[in-house]
Amino acid sequence: MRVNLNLARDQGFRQRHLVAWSVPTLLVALVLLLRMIVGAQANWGEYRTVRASADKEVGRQNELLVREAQLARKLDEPDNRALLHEVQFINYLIDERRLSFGELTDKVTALLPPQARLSGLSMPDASGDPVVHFAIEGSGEEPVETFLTNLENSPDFKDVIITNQGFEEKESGGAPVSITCNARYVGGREDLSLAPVKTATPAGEEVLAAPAPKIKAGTKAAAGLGAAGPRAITTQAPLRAGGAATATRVVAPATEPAVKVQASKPLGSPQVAPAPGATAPATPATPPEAPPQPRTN
Amino acid sequence: MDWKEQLGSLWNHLTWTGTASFMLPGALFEVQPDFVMGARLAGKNGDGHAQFGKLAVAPLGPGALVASPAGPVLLDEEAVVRALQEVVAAVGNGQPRAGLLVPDGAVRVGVFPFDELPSSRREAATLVGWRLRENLPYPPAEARLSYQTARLPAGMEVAAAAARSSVLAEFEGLLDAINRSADLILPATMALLPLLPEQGETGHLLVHVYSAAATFAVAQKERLRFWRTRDLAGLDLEDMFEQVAAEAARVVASTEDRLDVHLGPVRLCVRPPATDLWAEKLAAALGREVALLEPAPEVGGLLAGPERTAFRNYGATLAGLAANH
Repeated sequence: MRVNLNLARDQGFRQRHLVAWSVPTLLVALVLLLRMIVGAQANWGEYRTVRASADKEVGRQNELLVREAQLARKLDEPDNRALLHEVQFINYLIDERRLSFGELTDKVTALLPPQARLSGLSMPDASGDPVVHFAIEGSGEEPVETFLTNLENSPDFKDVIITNQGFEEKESGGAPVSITCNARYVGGREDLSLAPVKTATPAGEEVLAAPAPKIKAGTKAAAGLGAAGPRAITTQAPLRAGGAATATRVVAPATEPAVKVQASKPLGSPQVAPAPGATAPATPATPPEAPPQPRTN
Repeated sequence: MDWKEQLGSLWNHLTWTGTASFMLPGALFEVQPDFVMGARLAGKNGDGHAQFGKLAVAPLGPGALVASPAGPVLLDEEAVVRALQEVVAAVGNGQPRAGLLVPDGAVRVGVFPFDELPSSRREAATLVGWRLRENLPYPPAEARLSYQTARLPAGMEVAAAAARSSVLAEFEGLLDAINRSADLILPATMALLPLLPEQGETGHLLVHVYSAAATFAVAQKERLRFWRTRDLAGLDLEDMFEQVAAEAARVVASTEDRLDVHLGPVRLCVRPPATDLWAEKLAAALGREVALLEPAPEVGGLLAGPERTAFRNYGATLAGLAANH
């Protein structure tokens, strides 16, 4: 009888060739290990470079923080705080000094009697108290005179000067009298002396100053500004995003809270600061709601 | 089944390895409770038969090795290794692959009929192990199994040998101690089966008595029909013979009546030969012819002197392996 039994383990292909395959497997593993080591070294170098760069940036950030803190401390000093408040005050003034051409038109229209109409309106010089050039046409001489009277009595205008007057016969029979005149426009600006003002005391404390009594705008520059009076601070810096301006602030003595302001250039947005020589469109001669009393010569 | 058993079952499933087919390594060893034998093959003679060039036998003290199917089997491993190294020193250490014959008592053998076996090796082994489970004093999952099939007119017959993995690991450890790998492990009596003559449908009863144990095997052509091992430890020769004779009579009766196998002469192999009268007495007890199963002299052609004597007294199993190749 032939026996084909065997209790020994079947040492399969893997086990029988274990030694034969171990050497190449070991070599491959060694190569992979070396590659890993080289890769790890490269990664480590790159990491160190990035880490150094990051540390450098952190150092710069810390330095900037220190400088920011120093500037903040410097800004908190009393002198600088007072300057800051003054700059803020000037910005406030610039913000409030707006010249509205629409408002000017409304005021001029309110002065027109029903028999007159505004045929031209221009502002050749907008600096300071701007000079307004009027062209009026009336059905007769009386409405024109009424307008001139209203204009002279108006608190918004002064220095009325008639530059031209004429009579014209038209076939339609209307508007035989026309007149052109100039006047200085002093209205349309809020009285800034009523705005609350923050002032800094010598001790560095902020106080809210009481508003000054209302002063007619046209007399601001001339009134109360004596030679021995208050000191003046001139700021030449872009105080607002609306454009460059030079503002002069005259500050009264510490015991006097009144503040007087004069702007040397037109300030505010372009639409409220018409260019010199700009002419407003003619407005129809509509009767105002409360027409002024006609003047009789 | 607790988690440990489930884990062990999973581990066995994952690490399942089939057993190898029969092969004849260049060095053969046999370890028995009372001796250790080693031999080295030296090519083939002019007739094409393998022959041994070296053979050595070393006695083993009692209690060093026991033939236990559940293990442990090596009670004094150092002594066994020492005897094995002594044998190796005598036969030479040139063959890294070795075969090992172990006591029959450490292996369970069974014969089972099947209609069909699964085509998968693992499934077939699992099925055979399940059929063998009643013969095993341990869980079938711990068994290492080897089987061979014989095709029948209706179905098939499987002869399976199973040993506990831990027991086989102990034996493999012995070969590891002498820098050998176990490429063949068989129960000793299995190595004698190739020496049985094949005479038509006639069956042969093999009675193998050695090391206080006796194995009875019936082979018919290419089929193993019966296998039984009896432990005769503690018996004197007279009692041992009586037990062997009684058991042989039962096997003869059972085989001829139940298996319907006509038995030829009984083949008796006693290692070492106790007396020359065992064959005659057994023949008288059984009432049939008994022939001694001895190794063919030509297989040990290169052996001389004490080696040839040892070969004649112990070398039948080695001769059977050489004849099986």
